[in-house]
Amino acid sequence: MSGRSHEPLFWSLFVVGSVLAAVIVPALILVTSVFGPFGWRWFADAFTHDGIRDLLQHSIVRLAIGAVIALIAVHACHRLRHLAIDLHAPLPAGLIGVLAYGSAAAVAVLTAIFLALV
Amino acid sequence: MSDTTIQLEVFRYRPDNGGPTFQSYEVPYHDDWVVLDALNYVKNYIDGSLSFRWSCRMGVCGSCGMQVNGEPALTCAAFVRDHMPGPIRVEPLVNFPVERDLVVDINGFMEKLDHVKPYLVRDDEADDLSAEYLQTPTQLDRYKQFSMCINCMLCYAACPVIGRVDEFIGPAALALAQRYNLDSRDQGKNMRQDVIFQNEGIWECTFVGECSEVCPKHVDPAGAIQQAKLEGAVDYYKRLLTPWARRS
Amino acid sequence: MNRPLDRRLGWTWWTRNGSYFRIFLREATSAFILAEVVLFMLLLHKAGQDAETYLAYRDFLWHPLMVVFHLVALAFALWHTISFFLIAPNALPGQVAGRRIPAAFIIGQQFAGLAAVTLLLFLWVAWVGAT
Repeated sequence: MSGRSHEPLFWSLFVVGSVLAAVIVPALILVTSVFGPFGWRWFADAFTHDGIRDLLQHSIVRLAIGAVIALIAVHACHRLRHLAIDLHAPLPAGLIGVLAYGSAAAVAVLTAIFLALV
Repeated sequence: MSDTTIQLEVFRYRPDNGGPTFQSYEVPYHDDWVVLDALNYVKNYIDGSLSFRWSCRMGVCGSCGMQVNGEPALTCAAFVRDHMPGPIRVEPLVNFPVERDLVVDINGFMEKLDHVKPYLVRDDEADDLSAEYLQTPTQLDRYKQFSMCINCMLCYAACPVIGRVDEFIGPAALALAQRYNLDSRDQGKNMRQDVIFQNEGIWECTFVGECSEVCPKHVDPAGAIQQAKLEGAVDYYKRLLTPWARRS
Repeated sequence: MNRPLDRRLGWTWWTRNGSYFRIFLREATSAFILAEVVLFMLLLHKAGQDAETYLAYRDFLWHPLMVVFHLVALAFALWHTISFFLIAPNALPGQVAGRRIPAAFIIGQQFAGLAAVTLLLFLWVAWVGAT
């Protein structure tokens, strides 16, 4: 046996990300990628170049989007990590962890940079 | 005696006689027979060499758990009529080492049970053995569901994590840990949490939930483990933020 | 000699029956959610560049084949939402302040929250698009 685990750190972020993913991702997909191409004008107009810049105008909005995207990325990567382990992926568990949380961190950092540059 | 019969395909394994095989037996069909009745018919009238565990025949002792058509079940509660017209395939519980025929080695499970101290732990136990510890119905209600476990081990056969990590404490033992941790009379929570908050405790669990599906007593070990995770996370941050606090 | 037989569930456990497979699908939702998050992240990236670059990416995102992918991803995202909401009552403590909370109430509250957030997001984006 190995002493108390540090998994709670990742698990708690995963749970928060799970809640956010559950309530936000369906709407996010619909709004950014389905309503527009289906020709719903208001949503198509919201994603012109000026439209998306209007959406991202307020720094509070950018801050919220950054936090939400980061947590959802942690949620997805944590789950993929455990799926890989449960499917007996032939890689060291430590490497799977580095890959998974490394990807989540990359998404979080890049999103923050991109939001700052809008 | 009815004329209808049903085919049993029974897993046979004798360590000295090569690999495992399936052996077919034709047994009489009765509307009110369970799979255990059919097995006992085989044992008594067809083939006395068949080995399997059973005792109470009424879903209390937890010793007759086997795979019935691939699913873990108490054979004393699995009606033959639900599997008509057959055949019914009976195997030992998966995830456990098979000793012989339908008999599995449960020593690993017994050790895991031991790890979580599934009994009331009191600091003052030595002082007064006649002491009474009162409990309100609300306090009883907090853990009652988790106390219904009969240690039948169906949940271990249903758990893919057990199949991967031998050391994983597993559903029933973790649910029992939670049962005593939630008991207002118990004082052993900290000791138990030292065990269940390790990786091989609750944190290997990925909430597949099949343990709760197969549980004949509706204990919901999966729920117990998730509730323990919530407590484990709160406890983790408490320790992180107040490292100076002394804990036993 | 005592040679116990090893009968552990291997890596193919999720193919054994329907409920295992549903759990596998639940875990696999994360791949689609991650993909959509990365696509959205790139949209934010392009929003910071000139209009031409942005529109080229947006047209790729709105290409009919990509829309098919988005609809599949949407189905998986909804499966995450539904499976998460349905198991939440089991994962929460049975009592709050000595009282049992009915599972149906917890599940209902979550779907109400989903409806509220979705509606707010729709209204906000539509309002920005319409003005």
